[in-house]
Amino acid sequence: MIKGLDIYRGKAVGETLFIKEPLSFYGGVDPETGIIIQKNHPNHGSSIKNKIIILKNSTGSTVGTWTILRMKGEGTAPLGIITQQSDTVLATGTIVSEIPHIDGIEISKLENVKRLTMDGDVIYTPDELPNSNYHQSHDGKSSPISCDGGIVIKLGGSLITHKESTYPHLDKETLNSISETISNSRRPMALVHGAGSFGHAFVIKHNLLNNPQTPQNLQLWGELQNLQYELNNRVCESLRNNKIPAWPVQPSAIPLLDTPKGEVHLSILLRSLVSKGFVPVLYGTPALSSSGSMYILSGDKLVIMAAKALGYKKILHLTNVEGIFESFKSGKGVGKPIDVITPLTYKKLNIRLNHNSESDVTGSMGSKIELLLQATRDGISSQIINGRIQSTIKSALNDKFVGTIINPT
Amino acid sequence: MINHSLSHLPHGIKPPTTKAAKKAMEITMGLAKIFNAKSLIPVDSVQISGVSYLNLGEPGLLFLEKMALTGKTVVKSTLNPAAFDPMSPPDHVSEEFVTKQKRVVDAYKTMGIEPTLTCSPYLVGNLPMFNSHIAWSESSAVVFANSVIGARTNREGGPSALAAALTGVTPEYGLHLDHNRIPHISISVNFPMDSPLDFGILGAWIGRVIGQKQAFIRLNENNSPHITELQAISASLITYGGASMFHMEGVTPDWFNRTPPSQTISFSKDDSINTLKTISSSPIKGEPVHMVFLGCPHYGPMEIENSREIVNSIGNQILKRLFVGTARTKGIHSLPWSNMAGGCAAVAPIPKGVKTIATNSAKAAFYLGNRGFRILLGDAKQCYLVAKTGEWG
Repeated sequence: MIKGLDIYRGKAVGETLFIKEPLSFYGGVDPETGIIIQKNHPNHGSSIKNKIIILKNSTGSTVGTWTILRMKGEGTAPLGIITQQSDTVLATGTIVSEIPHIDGIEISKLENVKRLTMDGDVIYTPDELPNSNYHQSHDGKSSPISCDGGIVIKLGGSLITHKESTYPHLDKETLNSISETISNSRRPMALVHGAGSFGHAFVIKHNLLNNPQTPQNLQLWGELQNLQYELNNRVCESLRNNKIPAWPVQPSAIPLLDTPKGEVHLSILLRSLVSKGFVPVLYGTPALSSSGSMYILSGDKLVIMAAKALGYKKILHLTNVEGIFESFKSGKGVGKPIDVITPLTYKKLNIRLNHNSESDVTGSMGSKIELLLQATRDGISSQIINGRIQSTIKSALNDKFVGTIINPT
Repeated sequence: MINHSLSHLPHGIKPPTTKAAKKAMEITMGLAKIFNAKSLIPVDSVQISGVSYLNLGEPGLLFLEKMALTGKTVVKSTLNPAAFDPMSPPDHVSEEFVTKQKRVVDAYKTMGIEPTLTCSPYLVGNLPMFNSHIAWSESSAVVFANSVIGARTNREGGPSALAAALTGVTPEYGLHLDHNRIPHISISVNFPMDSPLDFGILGAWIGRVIGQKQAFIRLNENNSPHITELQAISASLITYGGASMFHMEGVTPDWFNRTPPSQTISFSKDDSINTLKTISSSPIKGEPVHMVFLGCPHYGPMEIENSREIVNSIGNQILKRLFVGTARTKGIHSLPWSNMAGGCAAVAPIPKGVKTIATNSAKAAFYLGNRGFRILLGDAKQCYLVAKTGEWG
């Protein structure tokens, strides 16, 4: 991660073009194609269209500002611009054209970087994977790369599916509404979704958790695995329809995920995906433990594992309720949700935790809270909100107080 | 690499309220960041470039019209030349172009910017005080203001000057700071110069030889330039890669506060002749010239009267080939040349059939040359005669 000066804040993910000599946008770039036409320029003939261009500065006439704006209009502008010491023409060009621009970067460091991610004032490069210093961080408290602003979002199974349905039944509209809202956020993120009617009913129907692993049951486990795969497919599709670069991650394919070694693998995988610009999409799934038994790796656990693996300090739970309530009546919270829960205040709260619906095999809201309280020890805060309301999601993504927040202190 | 410049609006600066002012402040703060400015300072006046539709294009026009929906100036602001004055367009320009050019000027007008349409704002009432802070774009005016007037401005771009007009402030860096205004190299001129052409060539030569360094110029004894000559050197210095200011012994207001640098380069008549040859095509006696362009930078009222007298004295007729750049000024009528008040040949559509252009301006030679015209550089007298005969004399 490299931090610079945010001249125009925004997010850009893409291929880079390293421009070796200062470029004059007016006369040096063909605004209709985005191709560099500057005489004797080492990058003569290269296109800057839809690239993240890395250059020291620009030169030439102040008309260059308007050339950049024109390129934006023609669709031939770069996705993002990284400079060492920007000049007025270029900086006003990016601000007027609203092209993400980070200045104050020693560009020679980026000469061989093929792809990168710009986000606000931060640049992520793919070769910043934590291979060498991961263990040090995992033993200690701090993460090797602190990704300020990074967030892991859990899409509740009861939100994106019709959970009470006895067959797998996607809630397409809610899913799409969530994808649309998330797509407007510029935070680095990973997503985790629950199973909803693609899982819980199936597990209960076949009593999978209590029955021995007979050959017939193995078939069922496989079938359950496939259902999750199918749901993940639909979720990623909805995300991609909203221009989110979703990358499906099947957690059960990562060996030894219930051991520190597995966590290292997860971390390497997620960090490389994020630094490439992908949004990893994980999901609750049956998995094989290190001791060889089947277990349900829940979305609630995964969301915390993902946050730790990425060094993100925030988890957002999108659920079908407004937050955590002190008391419930016929399945609905009474009054207003609790604003903030901390490990200290939790002990004083008399939360009735039996409001879980019958078909949740991964425990109640109570176990969710307890997991999140544990995560606060790693400095991770969580927010539980109603995922059906777009404005609520938007507020939470901007770190505003909505729903219930679970904080270290 | 990260410099710790402004990340928040400094104390005492009112946060912008309108959409346009917010965008303007975004630009101002962006520049404060890249130039590591510690503060924003109020400006007394603004000169805005970026008026010719030829350069702005459709996206530029739409941007300005969007800004004009909510933007209002808070300091005196004047406007650079357009391609031509849209109120009196030349015949060879399409109706569509005229409409677009008019919309550009109207957008600026709506924001409260005076449609002076000149690159010499200091000749039409935008005359800042010595040592005052201003935000000017238009490179020739930037050098003139810094050097001849002694006001303080960086070389702004069109949008950053517009930003200053709407916010009233500019980042404090560069030439706003006294320690950046010292001369670096002395230039000693060892022959008398007597025309804007001579001074234009001197500016070009200095720009090429010492680049961004600031010159301390010593003219030949008893050589005291008039304003048109100072305009000419201001324009060519920056056009040919030079700095945004110079000092001139006995002429510019700040010269006696500055120590002449010991490193000295002299400028001879030969240097002048050789430089002319690199700026101008080699003229052939009797070759046809299709257009003559004077008034770059724009002539003021005094020079307009001079020109009128000269033209009248050489034949008392209207010279259709002659174009003289002037502000869009009321009260000047029946000029004995093709009217281009408020316009600028360098950024205007040129009539079809024009291949060779004569001018006395080193700056105009550069920009028109870049557009592919054959440029013949001569002094004003020569240019008037060429305008009359249509041939290089």
